[in-house]
Amino acid sequence: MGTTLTLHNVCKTFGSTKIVDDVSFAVNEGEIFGLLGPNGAGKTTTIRCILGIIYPDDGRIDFSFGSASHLARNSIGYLPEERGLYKDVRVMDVLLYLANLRGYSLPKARQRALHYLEKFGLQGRERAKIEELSKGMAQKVQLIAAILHEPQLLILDEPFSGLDPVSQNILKQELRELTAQGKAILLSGHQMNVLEELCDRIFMMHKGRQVIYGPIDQIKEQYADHKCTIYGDNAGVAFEHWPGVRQVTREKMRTTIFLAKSVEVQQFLRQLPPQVDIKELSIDRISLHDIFVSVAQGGAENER
Amino acid sequence: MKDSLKVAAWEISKMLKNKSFLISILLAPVIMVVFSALPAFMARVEEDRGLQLFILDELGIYEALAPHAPALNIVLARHTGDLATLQAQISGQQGSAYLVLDQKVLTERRATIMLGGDGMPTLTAFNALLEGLLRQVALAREGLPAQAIAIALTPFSIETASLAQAGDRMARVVPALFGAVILFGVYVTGMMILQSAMAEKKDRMAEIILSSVSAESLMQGKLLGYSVLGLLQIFSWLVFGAIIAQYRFGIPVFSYLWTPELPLMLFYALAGYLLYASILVAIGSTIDDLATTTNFQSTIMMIPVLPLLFIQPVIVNPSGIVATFGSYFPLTAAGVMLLRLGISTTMTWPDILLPSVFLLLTLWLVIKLAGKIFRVGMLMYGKNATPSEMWRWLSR
Repeated sequence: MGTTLTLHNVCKTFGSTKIVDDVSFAVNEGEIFGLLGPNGAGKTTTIRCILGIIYPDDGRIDFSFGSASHLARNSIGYLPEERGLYKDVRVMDVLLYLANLRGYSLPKARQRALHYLEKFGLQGRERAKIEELSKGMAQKVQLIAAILHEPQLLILDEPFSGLDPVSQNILKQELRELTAQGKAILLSGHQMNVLEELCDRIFMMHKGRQVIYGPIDQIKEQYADHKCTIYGDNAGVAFEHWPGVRQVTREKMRTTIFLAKSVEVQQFLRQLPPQVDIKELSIDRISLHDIFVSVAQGGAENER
Repeated sequence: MKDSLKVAAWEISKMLKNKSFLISILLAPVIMVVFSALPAFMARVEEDRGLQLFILDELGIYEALAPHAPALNIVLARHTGDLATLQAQISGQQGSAYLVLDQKVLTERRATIMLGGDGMPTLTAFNALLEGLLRQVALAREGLPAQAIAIALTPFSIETASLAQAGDRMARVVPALFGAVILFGVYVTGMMILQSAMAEKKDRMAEIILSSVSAESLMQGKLLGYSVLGLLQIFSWLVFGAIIAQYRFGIPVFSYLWTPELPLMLFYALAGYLLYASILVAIGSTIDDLATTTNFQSTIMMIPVLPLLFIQPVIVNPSGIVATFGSYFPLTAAGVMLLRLGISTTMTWPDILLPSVFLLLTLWLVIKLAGKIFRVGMLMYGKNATPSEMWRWLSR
């Protein structure tokens, strides 16, 4: 399995603020790679550097199909977070224009556009103007524009937001098919459950820097802590002071107790004092979502 | 260059499918004709209702006035009663007036047409006729013979002509008007390109396009595409104007335009367009919302109208200091040179070529700087760029 995209120590500064600070990662052929981070982490700037829209101040970006200085833009597909299309233009016209800009054969683009429009439930809409479509439909058109020209590397920023569950499933299926064909996909987003489901590896960044990087299974293993969720009236119980408790969050009657890695779950359960009110109790491994929240609050940075 | 051509082809086809653009091509000349002719036409409708003018004549002019009155749409009536009765009669009457012609008029050299109602009818021709008759009466009372009076009252025609501009006057006027049409077209096209850059941002397309082509290619494609659209627009107006000029006034516009100056005029028009369009497309990329543009951005948008300041002084002296300054100042060079090439016959080759060198050098610099602003401005969402931000982008 070859590497499609490699970032070597990429840095980008705006004014006096370092937006991207020494970022290095690689995206392989046939994998879905997650680029995660809270708002303002530097994800969009990193993506813009990859796309050649802006140039990094330092570092190097290599592609299996060329270097950043001779970027083969035709081999990249991109769906930005800021969604939009020309409003007063017909669906097919805008799809063909974007395919043409990427040097793709127009008859082939037309054929593939009709195929994808049908796949995404937009058959017969090729002559409709974008302004006549719903927001979700327009987003599907934009997705089709990103994949129409058979790119080697597909960069999707929040591709699932705004899509109904059926369309989300179609997109997931499509992404899996693309990776089966050897395409590399860089997925950026906040919907942790979807990223956890789809991504092979992730790169999480915060304040421009790497926080977590690696295969998703290894990361979950690394953060293999447990959390205990108790539903009951425990406002007066000071779980925070118990040994092995890392963090406690409370939401009405629901208390979530994050346990340190050293704590054995069975022993923790045996030690629960009788005054704890338990109407429901569950023990889970912490999710990517919990890791993300922890990172966003600066936790993981200290834990690394 | 290939990417620029693709962008240009897209912009052209998009606009040619846009109904409002097509309507603007066809309707603009119609609107211009309507707006220039309609006020005069409407005033004529009012004047056609005529003026009833009562005259208290003590000078014996009435008989001389009366035959001309119908042609001037005035109904004359001699009043023989007293003034107070006449005043009471026409007071508040729209379209009624009186005129007292007595000895006082001759001594004070002033006659007043007193209207009964509101408004101010156009009486220029009647006034000229009356003034001639009053002069005639005044001279006759001084004892001059009728023949001498006729000679004294025959006007002289005084014209200004130029040895340098001998020949058909239209040969100078038509190219100058053509220059003005080009300038107007350049302004309209510049505004279209500004709106195109803004629309690309508003429709959130900038990022997708810039992931496919470089910012330079996108900007050059827009400049190229809109130059074709601008030429198309100007050509349509020219054909429309030429047809009207030919059939209404018998002026063969195209034969007047087919002069050695035409290629030079087209060069200055194109260079001027590229200069303004580069500035406007860069400014368009810094505007998120037209309603909240800064004073700086609004001022920059006025640059294409700067040549208007030079029209009067250049007509007075096409080779004077103001005309020369306007030719070398890059932001007015195109407009001033178009006008000078149209009306002056004494321009030397250095007069023509040196400003073009200045203009081309400025154009090169402006396109480079506009590219820097465009590249960053297009990716900026949610706010208009400030002058200090633009300065920072330029100095990078």
